[in-house]
Amino acid sequence: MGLFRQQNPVVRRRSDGTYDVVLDARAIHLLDDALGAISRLLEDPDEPMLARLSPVAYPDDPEREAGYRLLAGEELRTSQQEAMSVLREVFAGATATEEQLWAAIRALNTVRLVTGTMLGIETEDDGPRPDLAPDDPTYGIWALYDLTGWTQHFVVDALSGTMRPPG
Amino acid sequence: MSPTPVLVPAETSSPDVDELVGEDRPWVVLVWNDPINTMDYVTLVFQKVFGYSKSKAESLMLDVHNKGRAAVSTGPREKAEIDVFKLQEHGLWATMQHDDS
Repeated sequence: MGLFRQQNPVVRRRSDGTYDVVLDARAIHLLDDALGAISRLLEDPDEPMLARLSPVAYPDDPEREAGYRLLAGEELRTSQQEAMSVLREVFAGATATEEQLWAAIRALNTVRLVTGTMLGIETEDDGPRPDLAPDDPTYGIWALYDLTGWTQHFVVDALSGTMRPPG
Repeated sequence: MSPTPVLVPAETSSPDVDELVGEDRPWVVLVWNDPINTMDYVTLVFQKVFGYSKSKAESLMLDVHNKGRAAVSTGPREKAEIDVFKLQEHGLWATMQHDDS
């Protein structure tokens, strides 16, 4: 697979504390489409492909779970929508503040969770078949899953640099 | 493979007593292994959400990875719910239960 993989860091810190975000235009286009599609799916709280975005908080207490869902469910979806909007802004401007980068990394993870669910990933060893043809219906989803994985890795690297060492 | 959470229900010898004592018992926030979230991302989220040092965050992440789950924080129910929300906001598989240890 390795579609669109790039060697150079996607994110680079500038001297003014903001970040340059450089990603292949085709990769941005693919991600942008996915963000739009997931954003529409998020309007339905019962969409099964989004199950991993809102796990059960109280697995042994349905009553408390219902209360939590009532309080937090909408807020969780709104927060995920906002993070995806920020990621689109970041790609459009090719630049990000630290705060925007924190939203961007969550949005990349959202795309990864949804594509991983669509692909039925259950173990760390699940991956595309080596002979997966480009015209296979899952090819584009695997490409997105792979793309969000390595893009996120670069963002993790950049944000790890902002964490204070233990005092 | 990521295990299915199997949670032991709290012992309920007397519902009334359990209800009273229940709210005072601390809650524990658990993060479960998920094959999709990457190890370095989970470590970073533990640092961000809890302010843990990198070594503590890494050690918790490895517990999640190797043992299937890790207790990442404890406290009153309201605090535990906020922690669960923040972790879920970052896409982690977080749940909460009474601390019966």
